[in-house]
Parts: sequence; C-alpha cells; structure tokens
Amino acid sequence: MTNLKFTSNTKTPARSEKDSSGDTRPVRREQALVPPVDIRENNEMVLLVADMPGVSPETLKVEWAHERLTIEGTISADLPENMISVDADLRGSHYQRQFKLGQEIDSEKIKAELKNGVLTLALPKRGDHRVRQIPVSA
Amino acid sequence: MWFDLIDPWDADFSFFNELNWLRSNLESWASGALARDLRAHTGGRFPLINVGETDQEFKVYVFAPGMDQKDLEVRIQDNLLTIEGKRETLAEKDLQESTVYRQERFSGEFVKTLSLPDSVNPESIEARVKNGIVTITLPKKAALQPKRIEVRAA
Repeated sequence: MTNLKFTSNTKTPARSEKDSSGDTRPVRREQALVPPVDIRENNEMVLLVADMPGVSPETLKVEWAHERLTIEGTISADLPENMISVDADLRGSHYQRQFKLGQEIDSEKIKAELKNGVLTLALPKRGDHRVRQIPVSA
Repeated sequence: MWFDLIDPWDADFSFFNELNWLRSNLESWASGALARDLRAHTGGRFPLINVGETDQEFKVYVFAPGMDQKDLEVRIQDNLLTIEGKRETLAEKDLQESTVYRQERFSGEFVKTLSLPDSVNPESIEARVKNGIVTITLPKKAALQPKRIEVRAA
C-alpha cells in the first residue's frame, strides 16, 4: 500500500526545484480535497457524514480544538510502481475540511465511525442546550 | 451555527473545469488508452474515476464511498466496462425529527462506462473493493506487452 498520488504526469510535468539536500520537490503544495458532507440536526445531536474514499482508520484524524472540528485523512490505495496516470477525476491524496462548532456540542462525547470510506460523526448536544417543551396550562 | 471555513463549491468548480479541459484533450489524442466511450454516462459526478497504466496492466480506481461488493455491479460487454450501483445517503430515518443543514453527498443510482482498448485481455479482469475504492485490474494481452530485449556481447 502506498499513498495515492495522481498527478497530471501525462500532461504538463509538475514544476520542481532542488532543495538544499539536492532532492527534487514540487514547488506548489497539493491542495487538499474537500469531502462532501451531509449534516442533520435534531434536539439530541448533530450528525455529520463525510465521503472520504480510500481513508482507513490509521490515516484518519478527527480533531476538536478552539470550537473547530477538523476532519482529515490520507488516501491509500494499491498503486503499482511506475504507473502513469491516464485520466483522473480525483487529483490529490489528502482530504481536509473544517467546521465551526458552538458551545452546545459536548466535545467529550463525540463519536466517530469509519466504514467503507464514509466517516460518520455523532456530535451530542449538552443537556442544558436541548430544547425543552414547556406545558401550557389554560 | 454551522458554516465552513473553506467554501467547498468554489474549490469544486475550479477542480472540475480543469478536468473537463483535460478530458477533452485526452480524448482527442489518447486513443490507445482507456477512453470514455460515446455511450458512457459521464454527466454525473459520482463516482469519481481515476485510470492508471503500467506496461502490464490498466488499473481503474472507482471512488465509491459507503459501498461494498453487494451494492456494486461491474461488468464487461462489447469491450465496455460498466460500473453500476445505487447509494443511499443520510435520511430522516437515520436521525428522527431532524433538520437538514447540508446534503452534498450523492444519492441514487449511477452508471459509469469506460471503453477498453484492444490490448486488454477481458478474461482476466479482477475487481476488489476496500475503504470505498473499487480497484479494477485489467491485464494487457501478453503479446502486446512491451518486451525488453537483452543485449549480449558479441
């Protein structure tokens, strides 16, 4: 298993430069892929589902810091050596997306599950942020 | 309460525009390689497909998150490789009495078709799925693989 690197090597060769050690590196950093998400919310929690094909539990990172939720992952796939890219819809090897979360989410109780390249995050709300029904008496 | 720090749509649009340009370029001159057939359904953006080539084989990577072998059908007919399936996404039944904030993920049926070059041996094609990527290996016919000729001292 190697990291998936689909670059446009059948077209324009990537510009590169030599660094101090003599290694060749691409000049421009690869832009992260933005995984599409579904988000639903009810009184109990927020549910977030993200498509991240190729990401395994080992390469997935879910982080909550400063009221920001970051999901990140690296694609790994079976890539033979000296393979050239013929056609690529997906160009990149790294997903990243960030969301801002309010105080109402109980960050201690966030649950993450990754299955067949789909990340499901359950973000429960704190009890005092849930809507309560107040009975109206006549 | 929810907003993105990155605008996904902006990123997506430039990404796809660049690709469309690439693809039209590809189809005009990469006749020997796997090309998208006229009959292919290329309109949809799901699943994304990457194709690579080595001396021995072609590899088709189908990015089909959330799907495993029972949700997918891969078949070959008249030199066309077809990938077909149906995907359900997050629905009301998954979270009772909920409000939808975003629904960006693809849901429904899809069909994608690629035309195979003559050099592929249709008998030995293999498909595997892992972490939401279907990898289809299409070996080239032995007679059409490049051969290295050893140069010996006279």
